[in-house]
Amino acid sequence: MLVSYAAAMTGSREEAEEVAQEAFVRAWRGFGRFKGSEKGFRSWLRTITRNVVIDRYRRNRNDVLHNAAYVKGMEDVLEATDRRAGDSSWSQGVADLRGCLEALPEDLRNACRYHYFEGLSSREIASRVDAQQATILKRLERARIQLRKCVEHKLRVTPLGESHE
Amino acid sequence: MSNSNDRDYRVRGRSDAVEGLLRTDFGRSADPSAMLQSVLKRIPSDGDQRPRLFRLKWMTAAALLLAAFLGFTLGRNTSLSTDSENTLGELDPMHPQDELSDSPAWSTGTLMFGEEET
Repeated sequence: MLVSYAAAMTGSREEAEEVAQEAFVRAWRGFGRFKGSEKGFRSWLRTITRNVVIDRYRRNRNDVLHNAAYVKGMEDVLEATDRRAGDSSWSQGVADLRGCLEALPEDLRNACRYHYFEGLSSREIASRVDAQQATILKRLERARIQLRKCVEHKLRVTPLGESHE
Repeated sequence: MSNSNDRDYRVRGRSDAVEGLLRTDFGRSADPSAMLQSVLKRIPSDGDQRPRLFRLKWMTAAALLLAAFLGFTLGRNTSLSTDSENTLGELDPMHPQDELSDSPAWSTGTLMFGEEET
């Protein structure tokens, strides 16, 4: 879960794993300062992870991570996943999200699989499926929007309305 | 305006969270045991604290020694070169270059090697 959260902020799976490791080490060292419930513990871990990302990318001035609304948006999804998981495993918590991916139209689902699971760039996907790169980028964008809406629905996260979509 | 901005940021946060889940195949891509090993390696045990402190002290002492040596060597070289350029040449009457350069014949280029000034 922490790796997913870090990947959301860094955009890279490999860096996310490093960030998660660092976050665990910091959590271990600062565990004496934590006083709270298990639910609070997950949130505390996420805060540590966010701080690790901010520290690592301070040079890039990734200001969006300091934006309260942005962080709240991430928490909307992850807290809802925590709730969904309840006492069971994380994989149970994300079962619904996996269902959202499966429910996508085939062209969008494939674009997601190639891009996120196999790590292909939009150009590589375009050559593999014999399509324009712009088409692939558009598919990925549509897939992200549909997935977010599906997640909001499945996890009962309050929708925020339509603005630029 | 601010509310609209906040909503856009929140939507972006949600999208990024979903994207992060996708990027890691919903958290499955990370190998938990490998990560645990890496984390354990980075967490120092109590027994590791003493060698670490010793290493730190040792490295500080070495750095100070090196700084002192460099300071001494550089200072000595600077002092020597300054002396040879500005002081020694003028004060030492036996300095050959100064003797030659002070000779009027040498400086005008009229005296050939082996000739004597008349």
